[in-house]
Parts: sequence; structure tokens; C-alpha cells
Amino acid sequence: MSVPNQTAALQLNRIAAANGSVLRGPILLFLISGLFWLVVAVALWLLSAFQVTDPFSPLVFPNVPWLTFGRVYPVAMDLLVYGWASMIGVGAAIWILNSMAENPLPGGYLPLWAGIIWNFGLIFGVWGVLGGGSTGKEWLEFPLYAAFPIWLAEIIMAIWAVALVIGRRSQAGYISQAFLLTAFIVFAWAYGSANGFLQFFKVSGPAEPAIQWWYFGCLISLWLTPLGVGIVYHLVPLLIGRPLYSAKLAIISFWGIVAFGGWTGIAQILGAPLPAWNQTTSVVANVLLVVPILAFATNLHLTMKGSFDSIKPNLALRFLVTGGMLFGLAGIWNAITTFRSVNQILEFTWAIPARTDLFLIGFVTLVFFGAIYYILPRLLGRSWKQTKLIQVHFWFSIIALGTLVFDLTIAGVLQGFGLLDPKVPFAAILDLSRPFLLGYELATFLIGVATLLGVGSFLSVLVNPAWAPDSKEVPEPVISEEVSLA
Amino acid sequence: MNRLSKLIGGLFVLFGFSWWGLAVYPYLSFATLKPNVDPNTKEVAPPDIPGAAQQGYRVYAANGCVSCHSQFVRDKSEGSDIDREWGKRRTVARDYMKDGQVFLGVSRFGPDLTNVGVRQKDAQWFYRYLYDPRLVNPETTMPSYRWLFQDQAIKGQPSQNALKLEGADAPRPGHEIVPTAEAESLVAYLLSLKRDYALPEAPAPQE
Repeated sequence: MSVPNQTAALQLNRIAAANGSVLRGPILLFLISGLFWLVVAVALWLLSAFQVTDPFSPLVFPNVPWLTFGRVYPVAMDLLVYGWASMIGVGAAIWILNSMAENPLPGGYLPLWAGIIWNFGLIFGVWGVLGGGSTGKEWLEFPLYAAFPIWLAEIIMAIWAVALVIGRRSQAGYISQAFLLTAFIVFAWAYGSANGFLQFFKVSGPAEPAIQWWYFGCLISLWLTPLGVGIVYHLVPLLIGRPLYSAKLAIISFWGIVAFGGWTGIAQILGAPLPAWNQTTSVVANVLLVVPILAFATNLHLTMKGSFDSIKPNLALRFLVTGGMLFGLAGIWNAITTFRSVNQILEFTWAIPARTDLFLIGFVTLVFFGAIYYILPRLLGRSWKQTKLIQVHFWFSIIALGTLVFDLTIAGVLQGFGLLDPKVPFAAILDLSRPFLLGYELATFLIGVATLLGVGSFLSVLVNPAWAPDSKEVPEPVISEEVSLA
Repeated sequence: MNRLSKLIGGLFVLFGFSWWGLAVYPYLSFATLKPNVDPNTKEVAPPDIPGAAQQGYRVYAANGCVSCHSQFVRDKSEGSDIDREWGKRRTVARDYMKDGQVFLGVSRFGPDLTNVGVRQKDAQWFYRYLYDPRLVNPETTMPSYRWLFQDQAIKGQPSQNALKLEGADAPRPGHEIVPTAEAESLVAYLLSLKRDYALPEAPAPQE
């Protein structure tokens, strides 16, 4: 399974990447942009949480249209996905794909342009939605003039990634390569066709929800999931110096996610005026998706077995492994809550955003911070001076995530039982869930603190000129995750 | 190259299947929907949307109303929607065929609006609710949308649409608070949300 010669080449390539690769600029651009948008997203999220729980809060501005909840909250969510998660995912993917190809494409101008265009798309999107140009479709609020640049940047990245893999010197195929390529190809396809159908061709009304929620399934299961899984599959073996436990499990997780991922979104709107088979297929897909997710989590666990001690000193590994395990949890919770009997209680309640947050703030955010903590020192040839800060960041992230998911889920369950009983008046439902919505305010505040700690750690390396290799913090990769694609 | 083409081929087949089933097929099949014409009364269902309401959906979209309000009624076996009197029957695809845009929504932090135009027929009620929701419903946490209204000096007769406000909320003497054009089209849109006609594929459940 392992090929030592290739590993040596990989190492050399990494060192080359660290010492002035043309891709250093683009990767840094994506990482810095992602963190910047995370700060904006969390600030707006915090604002929206205060607005939605208390109409008398001083943070409610009834005379300022662009600061009303209905505009602020969608921008916060869109920035979390298209700003933070997507840009960090792309930045990390550039690093990983480049290091596996063994012969970088000449010139880093394609990713650089993509990064610049992507940022412009986000600026237009924030401007457009806050300014009253929202499409009013969840997760697709960006108007065409913002969605198009993002899509264009994504196409550039997909072309770059495919060209890199076609031209690679190494004939080996890695499983993380497959995941990252899939992410790039599917997202370009799904984001393009969803915006095309909904905004450009303007489909007839009843088809809108099918396309919109099909897209949501792709966004979660075939864009953010393969980015996160690809990062974990690549970095964890490198950090512990052992290959992935099982190639078979890795391949099951890959084809399972590809086969079921696209069908999962419709389960968000069960009971909607859509053909019954759409809804049934989607519930089945969400349940079947547990198989590849558990294959991934099991593989991660068995790979880590015997090395769990190293998550204490190695902070990047700690983020990656915790995030990966949370993906297993999110997958199981997602399947349970899709079942008709459970979904009837939780549909339309706060428990649904809680489910998305478990994925987005648990799995995606932790894994992507892990990727940042792995890549940044290698990219700049610097080491972490402030490991204490990263430790605090880790624990704050965990506490914030727990508070968020716990409060919203309990609020959702109470709200759900209230909604289900027609004798409970609507105002009483709100009273039931209100104490937990105060916990939601607290949770968004904690997420804000965690974000600042993460940004602080990032900046501490960015402005730290000292080159001080620390063998404990930067263990050299010994054997790569050598898993063929099929 | 071999492995790469296998990967891309597999992607096209497996992912393309969901793309076809949930994006292209709905796009093609829902485009052929026809309104229902009652054989006896010649009544067309769903009815055309009144002109005043036709632009209102844009205001609804721009301000994220869908973040808290859904617009679909589920079958009696799926939840309490019908018992809560959000509709007499479940909604089906044809209900939405004339809508400028469909806002199903996934949150019911506020009540469902599928048939809000059946429950409330008074534009003044909607204006007061948007201006300050607490004027109408002291329990609600809905944000107020004061910026959808403007304070203007009364010239001649007071405007027909002017808000009836009392006490601390009352406008200055000689002034009135009137809805902007955006508020007017939004309220016309909300008033038009009436799925109270019959469709053969969705009979009202018998008590």
C-alpha cells in the first residue's frame, strides 16, 4: 500500500511549496479571504440572533432597511458557506492537489484570478442582499451579478484542478484527490444550473422548490462534504505518519457520497407540493448516506487507533479528528431527523438550522481550521509561537458548538410539539422556546469569541518573522495515504 | 488517465441522475401544468394574480420574509396545518403555477402565510402589522418595518391609506404616516395569498 519513493518525492514537493511556490500567493489569498468573511458572517449572525429573539433589543433598527433580520440573517448564512467554508476549502484543496501532483502547473495565475473574482462575487452578494436585491431563496440569495462571478471563479478552479490531475507526473491516484476533484466539478455544475434555472431561465413556479432544495443537498453533500473529507483523508495520515487504515472503506465512502448526495436536499421540505417520489427518494438517500459517512468515520477511527495521544500535542490534528468525528455524528443525526415520525416534530423549527449548524460549525469549521493550522506554517516556513491561543480556540469552538446545537435543538423540539398540537396558540409556542433562544444568543457570542481566537492565531503566524522549526509541532510525513481510486 | 476518466464518468452518471431527476425533470414537467377549469361554473383555478400584487413578491423576497414564514399547507396526515386553519386542504403544485416566485420556506417561527389573504382582508391590518407588529399582536417577536412607511404633511384630504395610530405612536399634528409604494405592493401581494378555490387533486379532508 505504501510506496516509500513517492513519499520522499511528496516531502520534497512540500518543502518546495513552502519555499516560494507560485501558489503561495493564491493559497494565502484564499485563506485570508475565508477568515475575513468568517468574521463578517459571525458578526452579522450575532446581530441577527439578537434581533430574532428580542424585538426590543437595541440591535433592532426598524428604520434601517439593510439591518433588518430578513436581510442580515441570509447574508450571514451565505457568507458562512460561500465566504468562509468555500474559500478555505478551495485554498486547502489547492495546497493538497498541488502537493500530490508532484509537478505544479506553471504559473499560479489561475487560482489567483479565481480568488480575486470570488471575493468580488461575495462583495456584490453582500451589497446586493443587504441592499434589497435578495432572490428570497434560502442559500441562493445572491442575485445573478454576485452568483455569476462566484460561479466563474469556481469554473476556473475546476479547470485548474482537472488540468493539474491530468498533467500529474505521479501515476498514483489518491482518494483525497478524488474527493477534491468531485467537489470542484459538482459545485460548478450544481451552482451553475441552480442559478441558471432559477434566475436566468426563470423556471415555472412549482419547479422552483425542487431545484432549490436539490441544490442545497449538493451544496452540503457534494461541495462542503468532499472538501472536508478530502482534507481529513489527506492530512490525518500525514500528521500521524501512518497510511489510512482501509482503502476499501475510503472507496465506499467516496462512491456512496457521490451516489446519494445529490438526492438528499428535498428532505428539507417534506410535505411540500412536490411529487411523492421526490420526497421518498430523498428520505431514503439521507438514510443511505449514513453508510458512506460511517465508512469514513470508522476509517478515521481505525487510522487513529493507537495514535489518539498525538491529538494532545498536535493541535492541527486535534481539529481535524474532532471535526471528522463530528461528521459521523452529524450524519447519524441527519438520518434520524429525516424519518417521518421525527421530522413531523422538527420540521419548520429551530432544530433544522441546528442540524445544519452541527455540520457547518462542527464538521466543516473544525476541519477547515485544522487545515489552516496545518498549511499556514508550512506555507510561510514559520512555526506557531502561540500554541496556547490555539488550544483556547479549540475549547471555545467546542463549547460554542455545544451551546448552539443544544439550545437550538431543545428550542426546536419544544416548538415542534407546540406546532403539532393545534390547541396550543401560536404565541404560546414562542414562550416555550424563548429561554433556549437566549442560549442561542449566547452561542453566537461564543462563536464570535472562538472566531477571534482563530483569527488571532492566524495573525500571530502571519506577522511572526521567525523561522523556528519545531519538531513536535510539525511532524514530518512518513507515509502518504496511498489509496487508489478504484 | 484511466482512473480519472472512470472518476469523471462515474460522477456524470451518479450525480447526473439526481440532476436529471430533481432539476431538469421538474423544470420540464411543471412547465406543462394547466389551470383547472370547472366544467359547470367555467371558473379558472388558480385565478390570475391581481395586477397590484404582481410586483409584491419582490418585496417579500428582498426582505427575507421566507426566513420565518412558510407558504405551504401539508396534508392532514403530515401535521396540524389544516387543524390550525392555515388552509382547508393541502397545497399542490398547481396552486403555485401563476406565482411570480414560490416561497415554500422551511421555518415557521412565524405563522404560515399560504392563505393569509383569506384570514385577513383588511389592508389597514397589514399596514399596522408591518409598521409595528406589537400594535396588533403584543406577543409577537416579528421585527417592525417602519422604513416601509413615510411621514408626510397632510395636503388637503388625509390619505386613504394613512395609518390609524394613537397615543405615543400618533404622527405630529398636520402629519400622517403613509405606506411607501413598496409597502403597498407587498400588502397587495399578501392580500392575494388565497388558495381557497377547489382543485380536484387536493380535496378538502372530510371532518
